Amino acid sequence: MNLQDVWFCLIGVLWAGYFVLEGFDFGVGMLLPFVPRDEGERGAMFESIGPVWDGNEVWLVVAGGATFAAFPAWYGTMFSGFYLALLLILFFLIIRVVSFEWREKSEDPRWRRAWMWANTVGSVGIALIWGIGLSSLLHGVPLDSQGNYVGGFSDLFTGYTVVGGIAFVLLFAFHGAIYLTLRTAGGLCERAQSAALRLALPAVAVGTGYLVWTVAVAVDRNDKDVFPPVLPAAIAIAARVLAALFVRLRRSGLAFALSAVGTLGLVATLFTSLYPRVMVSSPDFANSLTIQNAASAHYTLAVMSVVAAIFVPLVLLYQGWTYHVFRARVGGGAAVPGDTPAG
Amino acid sequence: MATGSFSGKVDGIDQIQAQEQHNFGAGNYVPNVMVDYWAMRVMAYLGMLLFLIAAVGAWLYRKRKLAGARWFQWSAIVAIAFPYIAATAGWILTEMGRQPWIVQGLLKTDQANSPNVTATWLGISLGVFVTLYALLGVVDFVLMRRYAHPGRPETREELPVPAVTY
Repeated sequence: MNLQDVWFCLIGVLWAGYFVLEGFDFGVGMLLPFVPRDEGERGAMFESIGPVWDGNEVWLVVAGGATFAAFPAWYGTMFSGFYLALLLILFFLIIRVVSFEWREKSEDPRWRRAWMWANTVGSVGIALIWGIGLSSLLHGVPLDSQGNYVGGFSDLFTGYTVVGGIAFVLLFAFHGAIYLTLRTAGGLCERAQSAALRLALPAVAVGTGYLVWTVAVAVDRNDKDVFPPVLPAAIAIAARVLAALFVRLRRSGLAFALSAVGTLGLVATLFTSLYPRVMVSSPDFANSLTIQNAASAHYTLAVMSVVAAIFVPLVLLYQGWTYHVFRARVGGGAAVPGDTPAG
Repeated sequence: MATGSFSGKVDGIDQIQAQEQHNFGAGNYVPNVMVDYWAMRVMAYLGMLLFLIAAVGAWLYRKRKLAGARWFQWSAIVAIAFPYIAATAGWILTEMGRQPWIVQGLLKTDQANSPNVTATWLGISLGVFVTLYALLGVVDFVLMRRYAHPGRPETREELPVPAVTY
């Protein structure tokens, strides 16, 4: 395994960490208009992700930074080519970030409703665009022989990528509902439970369909064998089915852990499907970016590997500590004895 | 300062232009001197002015005159803007100062742009962000005014107190 493989895996891990963590806070954001009964419960939902959403977002920054440093050609083509999509993501990120800070600054119901919707629209929009964008890496976008993007915004939309976007939204909503059953108390916890139950079937169905389709696309358009991508896909599907089962059994901790495994499996499926390419070119398959032709020089990768080996564990430690500090349940008045969370 | 000694010789703009042409071929290798000249001075003088204001404040505080010195309080308020302006000027200095290179000696700015992103799209994205930040800035100002208004009751929501359950 050479350094390019290591960095390809590490970037996959960073994306997976981003979607496992920010996935649930996007999910909570999506459920804001539907789950709570009153402003108090809505405030508790905001509070359940308040201390952690920004830390979760840093995983995206690191994934982008690692791509820039390890695979500059991938970064250049993706960030230039997906210009409008990333512009939209930034816009949604900004209004969502502001909603956390400003919602509680006024009692005016219109003000509060506006910022709640800013959070919800941001959460749905970002999940949708990432689903479409990352699926496009595998499905193929028009690249020229220099590896430059020569398509437009509409080239990102195909049946497969749109299903990818919808799958991301549903999976995160499901993940977020389970997170709420783990982090809230009282009536809010009950309502989160029924939301998780209602989301289970669509999340499992669309998630499974997307994973199967991903393996098919990898075989069809990226010259891959069914194995190995089918392995993480199978794990992801099984984990999600089990998560739905444990939601029904009210084992929130297990359900959340399995839903997280499902998201890890999803990203693993995408990355094993891509390997050794990072951006599939279509129609000219020969123009695809690979981990060899998109990578930095060996020296850069070696220096970065040392830096990552030191700092990634440190970051994991203090993020884990944040979750430990804010482990108490929120909302619902008196605390109710719940099941033991997995993490 | 540039050479780390008192007797060092610093090349003039014309010599550097000639040398770069010799190394990298014909072209203009001189950044916009007027912009850099003023960005450097805005950054440095505002920074010094901030030190001065801070020192005057510390002196007034020691003399127990801080609470009565309205003129100083006003200048301190105005000085809130200085670090932002100085940092922006410093940023402009480095970004303009390294033109035409985006990486000195390796990559020129006009070769580093995204080939598929048109000027129209750059304009649209810039417009979107300027409008968004301007709106957010206005709302932020209104919010700060509300909170700073003397005698206004605290409007913060009572946050539910979490209880440890495990």
